[in-house]
Amino acid sequence: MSHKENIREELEQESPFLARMKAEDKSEGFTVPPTYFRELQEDVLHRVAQKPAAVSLRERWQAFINHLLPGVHPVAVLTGLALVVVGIWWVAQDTTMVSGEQILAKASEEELQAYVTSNTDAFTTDLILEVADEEAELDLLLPVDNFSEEEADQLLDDLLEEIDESTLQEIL
Amino acid sequence: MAKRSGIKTLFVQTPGGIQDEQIIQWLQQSATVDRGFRALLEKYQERLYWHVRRMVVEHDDANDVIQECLVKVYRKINTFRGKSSLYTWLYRIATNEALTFLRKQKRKATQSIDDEDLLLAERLHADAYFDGDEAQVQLQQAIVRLPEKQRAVFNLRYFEEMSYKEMSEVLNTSQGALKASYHHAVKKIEHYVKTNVSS
Repeated sequence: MSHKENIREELEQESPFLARMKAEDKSEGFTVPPTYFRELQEDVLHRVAQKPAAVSLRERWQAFINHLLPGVHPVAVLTGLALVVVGIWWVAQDTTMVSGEQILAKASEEELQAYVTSNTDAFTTDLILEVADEEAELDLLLPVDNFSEEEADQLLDDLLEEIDESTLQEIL
Repeated sequence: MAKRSGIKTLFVQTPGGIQDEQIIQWLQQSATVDRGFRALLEKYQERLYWHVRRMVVEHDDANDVIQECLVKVYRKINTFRGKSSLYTWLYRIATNEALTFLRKQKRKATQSIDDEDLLLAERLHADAYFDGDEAQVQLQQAIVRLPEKQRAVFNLRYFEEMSYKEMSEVLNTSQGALKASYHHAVKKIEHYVKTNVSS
């Protein structure tokens, strides 16, 4: 059974009524002006000749890629290009890290602590806690030298109030 | 006035019977692109026009849509990769253009979707290039009441006698869904025509 016979058969099964209408050529009542198709062809040819194609950026890229690598699908080329760009970015980022390390090597410990304290968002929690512990030790040692005897007694009382029994036994 | 002499004219081959492969070859070389486009127009413009006309109903609208469609074909021909046939690629562009036109029309209209479809049906009578008899009027009125995509499915199968595989390429829909859609369209049209012709 041919393709068209199949379609007729299908319609006959679905709707004998419509199959009969079609067989009687009662399908359409559309008409066009007498010379329409000749004029249509002329109009279209005139339009394409008059207006140069407004080529989109995407089409220009596709044409460029087709010219550069004929036969290769533009998506494959663009994926390759994207990988190259990511690779370049990765290498550049690595270079930045090396130069950063060189700068850090020259900085003093205090400068590094000050930098970490004022840029907490940029560091891991462990590193910040480590720096905080060192600062706490400095805070505890340095001001005491400047305290008066009363202030030192008050500070000791405050510390004794805050400290729990087990820690106190451990220190003693 | 040239009357549409039924679906048989759709399958008349153009003089010379130029093969699609030859047309594509011409279109893809700058020296022969105009020759290729002329051959494409001679072979397909009429078929594409009738497809668009069935979708948008009025001749003036169909003329606007088909011109836009053919200009786009000329400009996009370098993107045609030959994965589908030239024939289904052209129908795909024409169908998209027609559906876009219908959606724009609906957005412009203040009426509800049902009212807009009724309006389209009534415009059949106003169109100077429609002279169908009672049965043809009812058939067209039934078709324009279908949802747009179902209308395209019905037209491609009933008038163009396209295979489901080709329709699948044109409408980017699975063959199973197209068969179901065509079945429902046929039932709806039969019901509408029988009801209205007898009354």
